[in-house]
Order: sequence, then structure tokens, then C-alpha cells
Amino acid sequence: MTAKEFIVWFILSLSAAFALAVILFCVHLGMPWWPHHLNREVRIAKHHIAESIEGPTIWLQGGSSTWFGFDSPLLQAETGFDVVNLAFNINMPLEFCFDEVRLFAKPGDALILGLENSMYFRNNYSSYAADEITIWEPEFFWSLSLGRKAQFLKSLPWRKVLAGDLVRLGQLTGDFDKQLKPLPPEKVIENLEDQWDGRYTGEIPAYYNYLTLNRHGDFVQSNHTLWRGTHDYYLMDLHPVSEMTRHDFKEFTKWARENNVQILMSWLPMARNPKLDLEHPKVKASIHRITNFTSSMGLEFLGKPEDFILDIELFYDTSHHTTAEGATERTKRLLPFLKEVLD
Amino acid sequence: MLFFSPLFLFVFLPIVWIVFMAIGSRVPAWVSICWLLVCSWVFYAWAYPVHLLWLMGSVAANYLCSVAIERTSQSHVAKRYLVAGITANLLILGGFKYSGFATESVATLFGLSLTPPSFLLPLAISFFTFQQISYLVITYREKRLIAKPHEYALYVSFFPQLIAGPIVQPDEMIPQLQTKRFGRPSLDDIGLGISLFTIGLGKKILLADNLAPIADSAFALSAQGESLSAFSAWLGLLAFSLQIYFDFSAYSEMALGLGRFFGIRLPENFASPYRAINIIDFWRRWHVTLSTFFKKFLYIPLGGSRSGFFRKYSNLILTMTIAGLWHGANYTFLLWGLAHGTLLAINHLWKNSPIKLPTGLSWALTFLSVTLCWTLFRADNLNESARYFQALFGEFGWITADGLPLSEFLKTLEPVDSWKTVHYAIHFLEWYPGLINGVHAGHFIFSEIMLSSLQVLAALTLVLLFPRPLSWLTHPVNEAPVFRKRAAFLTAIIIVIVIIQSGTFQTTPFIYFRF
Repeated sequence: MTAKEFIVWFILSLSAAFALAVILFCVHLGMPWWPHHLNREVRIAKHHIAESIEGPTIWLQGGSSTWFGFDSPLLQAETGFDVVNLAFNINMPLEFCFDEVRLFAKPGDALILGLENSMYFRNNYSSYAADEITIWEPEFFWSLSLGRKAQFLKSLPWRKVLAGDLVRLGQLTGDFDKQLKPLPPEKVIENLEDQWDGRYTGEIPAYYNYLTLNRHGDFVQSNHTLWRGTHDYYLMDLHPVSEMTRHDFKEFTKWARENNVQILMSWLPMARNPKLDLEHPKVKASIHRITNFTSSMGLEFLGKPEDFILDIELFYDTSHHTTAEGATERTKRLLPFLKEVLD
Repeated sequence: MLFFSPLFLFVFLPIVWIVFMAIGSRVPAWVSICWLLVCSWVFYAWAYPVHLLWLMGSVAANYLCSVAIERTSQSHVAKRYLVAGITANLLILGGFKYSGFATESVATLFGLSLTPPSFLLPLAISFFTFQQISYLVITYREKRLIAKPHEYALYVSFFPQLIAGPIVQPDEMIPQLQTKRFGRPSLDDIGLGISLFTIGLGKKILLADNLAPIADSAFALSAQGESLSAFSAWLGLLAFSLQIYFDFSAYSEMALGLGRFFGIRLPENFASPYRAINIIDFWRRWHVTLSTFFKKFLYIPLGGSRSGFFRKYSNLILTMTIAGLWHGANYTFLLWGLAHGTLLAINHLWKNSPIKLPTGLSWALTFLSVTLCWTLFRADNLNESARYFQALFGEFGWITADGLPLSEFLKTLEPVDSWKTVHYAIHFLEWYPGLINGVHAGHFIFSEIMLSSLQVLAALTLVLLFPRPLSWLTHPVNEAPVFRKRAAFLTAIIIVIVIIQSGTFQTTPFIYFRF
């Protein structure tokens, strides 16, 4: 074999191996099964809530500190807007969070963006999000630019692809139907409506679940061990606001301006604890980087971080999840700032 | 800059190579040499730019010394220059590498309160010092300068071999820079370079770096005073033995492959050492160029094997002890060298005895001895290595350290996090055959101990079954490339797997970078 023939064989083998990898990935893509039901079903439920809204609306978006951290009925009563909480997980890419808003927001609506601090600094896709999204929202993957697709795939753990392929194989053998088949969307919605009306008699399979949502999409159930740890809310890190965040914000704020959707920034609720010192130079610098960045996008925060420091007793199972009382307290503190700026 | 970092793979190497190829046929060879030299210095200076001053200063001083040796007509003066040059090199190396260790040892020995000097060791100083000593010696012997300044500077600084070898002898590389073909590598060289580099990359990322956590965890637990069972200790030690094998083998093949990209044939440094059937054979295969250096410049000048029975064995043990210390300023390395020296002496004595062991048994004894010696090499200090040896010989239990019977131990197994999704998939599809000793099969299969054992077994199988790449990628006589379809497949598959895994693997620098 000559060197030329070797290089031709090498290129052919490389193409075949890549093709095989792509096939395995595509087989895995869009294969919902048990570990992924939670987020998929929560999203179906939140979309159902969002689709039923017609009037002027305040949309809530962010990570789980937003999912757990707003009292939407209070917000609705005080502002006169309908309120829908679209948030669910800190790991979801900003692009994904913004896409969810783009799906439903109408001219005249407002968006309260309560991002966790780490979301400003993240410059990659989390492997958790990559795994979840390939399973229940493959369209998001296809919508990404080529560079972002590569970045997304880099974060996807190959063992998850292997698991997805096994499950797809189980679908062919019929074993999938025994325990792994997800609820169809209409059943999710039926159960949700039953739960709201007090008719649901089944078990709630996990404490983060679509059945723990109220009619606005807030998390309402409280039956878990309480978190009483320490956390600096990623304010001690010296990361710059990432290029990925800058790009996504730029695109989204442009869209919001064109569609007359008002974006309002909210600090996340933070528990008073020994690790959180807002006077620490590093913390001040982090806050400064975040506010500088949002200002550069033409966005302003409602209040200051210190306005949203809550007693640790108002926190639920993690440093980022408030109890129902904590959510009400956070919302009460936000309302004066919100009323000032709502058009 | 590491050979497997994206910066090296996608920026540095392509730029260096494309420019080298573009200018190769259009400019005189010295321009190509200077281009490679500048790039090698950029490569070297990347992490600590100030170290480049040491390298450049050392290159300049040694070249001037070689000029002085060549210019003098009196043999005794030339010898004086040679001795001065070698002494200066060794003093600088010793000063950087061993002054702290020596001060600490003296302070401990005499109960003194001395503050050890603290230097940031210039990267690769052990390697470039030895290459330069080789050059001074060859200049002295041949009474002529075999390289022009830029050729000499590239010989010392050529980035594929600069950081961790091979320790190239001047006559192995300099004549290649002086041929008319230099600057125009053939397609054969490039094809072979791709294969060798990729196989090395695969060995590092897919094998060595996956074995590292098993070894690290066992040695760290032992160092923290945890009781390791003999099973866990052997698993950790075997993992390290295979990690260092694949790590060094990977580096060596990547270096050889990179050399070929530029049409330069570097000497083979690693020739399937774990297939050795005795310790003498092992040292002919492991870090070949270092062994050659010590043999040529220490063992033979000490008298080698021609100065009587006692001197032969003491020379051998002394040479290996110094070679051990070359790896680092620590008693563990000293003992490691001493142990290998002793094993070599025993092996030489055994050769003269009429007893011949079956090949399989010889191999097993050799592998076991080498692997046990790695305990000294891997542990941070003598206390840690002693504790690890205790664990290896069952001091804290054979299968479990907490005295649990095997059946109870199996019940404590859990699938590791990274494999949980696969476990769940098989579990919910109801594909597991059943329970093992009352425990879910998946908990056993995907447990850390089982996965680690499988990894170690798979790595050992690769070591034993697969021939070294150069043996089937090149012709045994003239080292010309031999292209095969299986090499093309293997190269392509490694590239794809490395890319697929790139988001999830944890890479570590080459072990030999620290020497």
C-alpha cells in the first residue's frame, strides 16, 4: 500500500467512523425515557399553562430559583397582569430559556429574568442540559448554529448516548413499553388539571414534578428536608461574563425590542449565611460585572442584591430554592421596584 | 503546551507544519531550521517564558564550549574544556534539581535548621542537559564541530523531543538537518507521522488518563492513612503500572510521529517493555535513550563490566541509583533506582547459573518486580510507600479492609454515577439476568471496583496482545513506513473516539514532563 492509498483509506475510515457516531447520536436523539420524564413533563405542563393565557402577561424565566422563588398569584393580584412561570433548571442554556419566552410572549408583555449568577458566567453547555435536551427537545439542537452544535455535542456524555441507544433498542424489542414509556402530553395535562381540581388520586412520583405546579407554573409542594448549608452564590468567582451569554442576550434583547416585550432583571433570592458577604471585594466585583453587562444591553435590575437576601429559614431543599413563604417574601420585596417600571 | 491540548493540535502544530511545508522547497535549509527553532522556543516558553532564557543561555554556553574544544589543538586543554563544560552542566542541573533535597537531607541528618532553597525547575532541564553533554563529548572525540549554531540549537530544542525525550544523540539527528532533503518530508513520512501521533494520542487519552484515577485514588487513600485491602492496593498499583506504561509509550510515539511530520526520524524510546522476560531486557526496552546515555556516559566510564566481579556489580547498582535520582530529588526515586540496580545485578548473576526459568514464569517475575518497584516511584515519600507495601501484602485485609465477608461486601456495591444512566436503561428494560448473591447484577457490573478491574485487565491485554506500533508500521531494516489498512482504520477510530470523549475526559500532563 502506498502513502497515497493509506491517506485515502484513512479519510474513508474517518468518514465511516464519524458516520457511525452520527448514526448512534441520531438514534439517541429524541428518545424520552424515565430519567428524563421530570423535565419533559414539567415543560409540557408549563407550555399548557402558557398556551391558555391571552391577556397582557408577565413571564418569569430563569433557573430553579425562579421556578421556586415567585408567588405568581400575588404578582398577578398586585400588577393586574397574568403571570406564567416558565423557569425550571439552572443548567438550561440561556438560548433555550429565551426560546421558551419567544414561543409565547406577545407585544406589551413583560419578562422578569431571574437568572442564577452562574448563568452569566457559563461559557458552555452543561452536560445535564445537553443530555436532557437531546432527549426531549431535539429541535433545539437542530436550531443551533454549526459552532454551537459542536459545542453542544462536546458536552454530551457518550455514556448517555449509549443509554439512549439501548432504550431505542428496547423500543424495537417491546421491552420499552413495560416501564419506560413516558406519559403522552394529553395525559400529563389531564393529570395536572385533576391535581389542581383535587381529583388526582395517583402517586406523585418525585417531589420535583409537574404535579407540584400551581396554575401559574410555580413550584408549590413543600415536603422535603430543608437546606441549612452555606453558599456564596458564585459571587466569589472571578469569571467574566461569558461570550456565550453576551451573544445570547444580544440576540434576545434585539428580539424583545422588535416585539415590544419589556425585559426586567431580577436578582435571585439568596440566603443569609456565613459564606455570603456582599461587602467582600470579589463579590462586589462580580455584582459590578453583572450589572455592567446588563446595562450594556440596556437592561436594569429591579432593586439591589441586598434587597433579596432572605432569612435562611425561608429556604427549602437547596441554597437556590425558597419555600412558599420565601417566594412570597421575595415577590413582596420585588413589587415596589416592579410597579415603578411597568409601563 | 501539551501535545493533546486543543491549542497545540488545532493552532500551533498546523501553523508550524503548514509554514514549514510551504517554505521547505523554496528556501535554503537554514531558514526551515530557524523556523522550527523559533517555533520550538515558542512551544517551550508557553507556560513559563522566563525559562526560555535558561534554555537559550544553556544552548549558547554549550555551543561556545564545543567551539573551544574544537579550536584547541592541545588534547589536554580540550579535555579541560570538556570537563568544565560537563561539570557546569551538572552543577546547574544539580543546583536546580537537588539543592533543596540535599539541604533538607543535611538538616534532617544533623538536626540543623536550614531553609532549603526554592527554585522553579526549568522545564525539561534534565533532558536538554543530557543532550548537550552528549554533544560536548562527541565534539571532543571527533575534534570537529558537527553542527552549525542553528543546527545545534534545533538539535537541543526541537519541540517534539524537548520536554520529555527521547534523549537524542547528536549523530542521530544533526546529519538529518544537513541532508538536501531536509524541509521536504515525504508523503510516506507524513502518513506514518499521522498514524504514530494518533496512536500515541489514543494511548494517552483513552488509556493512561482513564487508568490514572484508579491509581490516584488508591495511593491517595493509602497516603491519608486509610486502610486499603490487598485487592484494592494491587488494583491501584497495577493501574499505575499500566498508566505510566501507556503514558510514556504515548509520549514516545507522539514525539516520533511529530518528528516524522517534519521529516526527522527520532530514535525509538519505548519498545514494549512489559513484554520483557528479564530486567536486563526491560531496561533495553524502557526509556531506551536514557539507558543508553547512562550506559555510555556513566557505566562504561566507571569501568563497566571489565573491572572485576565486585566493580561490575557496584557500577551497575551505582549507575541505576543515579538514574533513579535523575527522575527526581526524593529518597523514593533513589530507592527505586537502587532496587532496579539490585535486580539487574541479580539478573546478571542468574544469567551465569544453569537454572533456566520457563519464559512465562520469567515474564511474570519481571512484570511483578517492575510493578512492585513502581510503588516507590509513585508514592510521595518513604512512609507512604512503606504503608502501601503493607497494604499490598494484606496487612489491612485481603478483599476488604473493614473485615466484611465477601458476600456482605458485594451487597454494598453501587453503580458509579457516570454509568448510572446505562444501568437504569438496562434495569428498566429488564435486561439483567437476575440477582448475584441477592444483589442486583447492575450494582455489581457498574460498581467502581468492577469497572476498575475491567479497565486494568483490558489495558493489560492490550499490552500483551498488540505489538508495538513501529514494529508493524515500519520496515525493520530501514525504518521506512509500511502502510496497512488496519493502521488507517485504527487511526480513524482513535480520532473519532477522542473527539466524542473530548467533553468528558480529564486529561493530565505526561508523567515524564515532571522530570
